Amino acid sequence: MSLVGLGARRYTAARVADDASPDDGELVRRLRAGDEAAFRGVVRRYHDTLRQLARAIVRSDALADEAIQETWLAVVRGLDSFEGRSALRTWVCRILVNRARTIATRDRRSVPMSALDDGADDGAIDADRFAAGGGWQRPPAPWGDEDPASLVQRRELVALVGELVEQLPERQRAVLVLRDVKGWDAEDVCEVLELSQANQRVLLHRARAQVRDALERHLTPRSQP
Amino acid sequence: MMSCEQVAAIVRDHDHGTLPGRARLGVRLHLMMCGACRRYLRQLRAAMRLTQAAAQPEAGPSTAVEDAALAAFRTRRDPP
Repeated sequence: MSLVGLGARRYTAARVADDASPDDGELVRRLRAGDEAAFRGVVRRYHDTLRQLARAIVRSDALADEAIQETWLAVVRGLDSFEGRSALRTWVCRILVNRARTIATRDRRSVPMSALDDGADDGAIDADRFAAGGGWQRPPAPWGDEDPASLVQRRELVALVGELVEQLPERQRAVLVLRDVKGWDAEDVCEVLELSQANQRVLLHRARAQVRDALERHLTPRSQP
Repeated sequence: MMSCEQVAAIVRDHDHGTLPGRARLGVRLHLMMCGACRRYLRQLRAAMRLTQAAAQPEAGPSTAVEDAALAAFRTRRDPP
């Protein structure tokens, strides 16, 4: 079970296969042998993941593409030293994260507060949601419609969530994208973003909770003070 | 019985993978009794679904990105 429900199907399963490779060993052999079709396949298959990850870190699509290009150059140069201790996907994404962070630092003179204040090191999670006895301080208000399949049909909600995700601090956004959009395991996310399991969980929860809160504000306007 | 806060913490900590048997029983029991927690989980699930919908996958790499990558790959095979 997971957050996604006791026994209910996991919504994250849908896109799991997007960027997953069936057999890294064989793929790496083909890449080292200079198989262009295999390389093109990897560049295309990983692109969306790389783009979304890069956009969590840099602030424009152009800079994201720059990070992706640099990543492929580094991958080509590093192929022979890739030891296969992590999955190819993980290795490529780690390179991307490093490149994107370098570009982001160059792009802005100082790191914005949002990048630092992502709550990962804050022990108290949701403390203000609950009263001293462990019950809800302010129980979640009904939305009228809470069926994901029908909510997802409402364009204004999808747009609202899209805008909110863009505003999230870097690490929250990156964790959210990899876990909930790409369906990655927590372990792989920790490796790519260099996070502890505990920090990964906090970041993911913070991000999901912010999306939920934004929907709550939109769907139950009268609950606001 | 588990408190709402405990349920939220357990669900968060086991967000991926199976809950240990006793915890699962406790969470199940709590959710049977507590509409607020059921609603909160339902809403979080809806939020996740909308997050997926909002992340429109791109068609693929631009020609510039793909060409640059392939050019680099060819120099590896045929060093200049």
